[in-house]
Amino acid sequence: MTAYKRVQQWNTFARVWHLYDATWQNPFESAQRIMKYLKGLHKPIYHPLNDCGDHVVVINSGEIALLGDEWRKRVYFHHTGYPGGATWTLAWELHDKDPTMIMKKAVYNVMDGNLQRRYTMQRLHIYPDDDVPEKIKQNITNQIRQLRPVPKRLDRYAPEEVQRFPKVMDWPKNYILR
Amino acid sequence: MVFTSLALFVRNRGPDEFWRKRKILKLSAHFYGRRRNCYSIAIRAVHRALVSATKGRKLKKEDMVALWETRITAGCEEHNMTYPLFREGLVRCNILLNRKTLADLAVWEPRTFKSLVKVAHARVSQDGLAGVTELGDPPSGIITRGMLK
Amino acid sequence: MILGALKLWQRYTCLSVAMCVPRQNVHLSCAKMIKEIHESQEGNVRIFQGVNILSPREPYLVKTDDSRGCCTICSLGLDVKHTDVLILSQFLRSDGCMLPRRVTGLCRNQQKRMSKMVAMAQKAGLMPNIAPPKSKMDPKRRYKWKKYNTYFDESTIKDVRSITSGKKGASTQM
Repeated sequence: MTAYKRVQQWNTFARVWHLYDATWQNPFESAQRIMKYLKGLHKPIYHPLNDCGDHVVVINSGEIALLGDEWRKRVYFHHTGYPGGATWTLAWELHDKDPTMIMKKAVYNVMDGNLQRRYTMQRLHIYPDDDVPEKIKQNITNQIRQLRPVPKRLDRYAPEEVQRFPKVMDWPKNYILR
Repeated sequence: MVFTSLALFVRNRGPDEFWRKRKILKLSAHFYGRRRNCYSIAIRAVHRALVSATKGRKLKKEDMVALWETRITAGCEEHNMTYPLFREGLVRCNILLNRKTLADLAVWEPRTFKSLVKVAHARVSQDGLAGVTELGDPPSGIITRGMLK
Repeated sequence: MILGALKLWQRYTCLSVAMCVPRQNVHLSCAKMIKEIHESQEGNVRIFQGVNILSPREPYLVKTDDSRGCCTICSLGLDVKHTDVLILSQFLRSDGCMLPRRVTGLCRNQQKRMSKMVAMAQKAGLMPNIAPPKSKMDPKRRYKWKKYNTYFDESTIKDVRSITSGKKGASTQM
């Protein structure tokens, strides 16, 4: 193996660290995309027996957005194993307790339940805000595109921007503003 | 085999029992435990194995197709393209490569694959198929057969 | 007599002026009276004029030349989402209430769509500044599940026409 080939081999199979900003993203749709990077499905060299998955660093998992009334309709079940040990936790209650848990479970559940799953999960790093340890931050070389555009609040726009935005409606001539 | 009388022919149990069993035991030679050497257990295991082999001939093809599709999809997404549109674009350009070839190109010849994606993209956006707008602007400098007309 | 009438009119205008004064600092579009009193002197005659003031939206208004008489949203073919707060806020009063159809000039269908989307945007906390004072429009100040980010699906808004036609169909069947 020449030196060139050896370097090519390293580069092909090197683990890349991806960043994903979960602000205003649906965790269950994001999980589909994150799972691809964790398992290496985004590489043409993919093979189920080929350990080519990457690392994904998810930030702002506390700022995820759910659809409609899902915060109080989605229920997480846990059983301690003892009689009467079943608990049902609503999504917002779980999010109160641990802002990374919904994201983690979403990714865990979209993966096949095989022996690789737990090792693949070890490559997922979730942080509730953008405060990432320096050691992890310096590995990151790529960012995964977000699924939904992050909506901008009206009070975050500059007043001139709001005023100059094209208007689709004007008040009638004698309308008194309130 | 030579039979001197009809009675002997009727009594006959066919070809030699040893060789008959031998054929089965050869197939079970790589099995584990008594399934390797005990004939009555081995024959059951061999039957099972042959059934699985029959099913597996089809499954293997399906698995390979799934793997190729995964790989081509991965290659397409590197260039911001979707798999269905990519195949449709190639077919419309009369580039009739199968999935195996495309997957091999994606792995071993990424630049060839990229140019194929460009050709497909140009063709697909020229024909205005659904979902083309999300792919972005078509690449420049690509001439497809449809453009020449 | 005329002077008295003028005074009356003036008082009315002042009243309307008082009503126009915005309670919020945010109503960025218009916070002015609709008429202004202009006073001028020509020889012996003093002239008081009530002049209509141009709406501040006038220069930014989108021109729609639609012969079918569609409403603006329909004729522009806009696919408005509930996150498009710059559009949705145009249909609102300063306290966050939806304006009626005679003011907005929308068709029945779009009026319903817009009011639903306004509700969506306010639930998602995207227009916290168009609201009554002390309301909890900022999601961070809300309780329980309401403090977390929520988004909505616009396809859940039903068409007005399809609802009425569906009802008609049901009644004929009965």
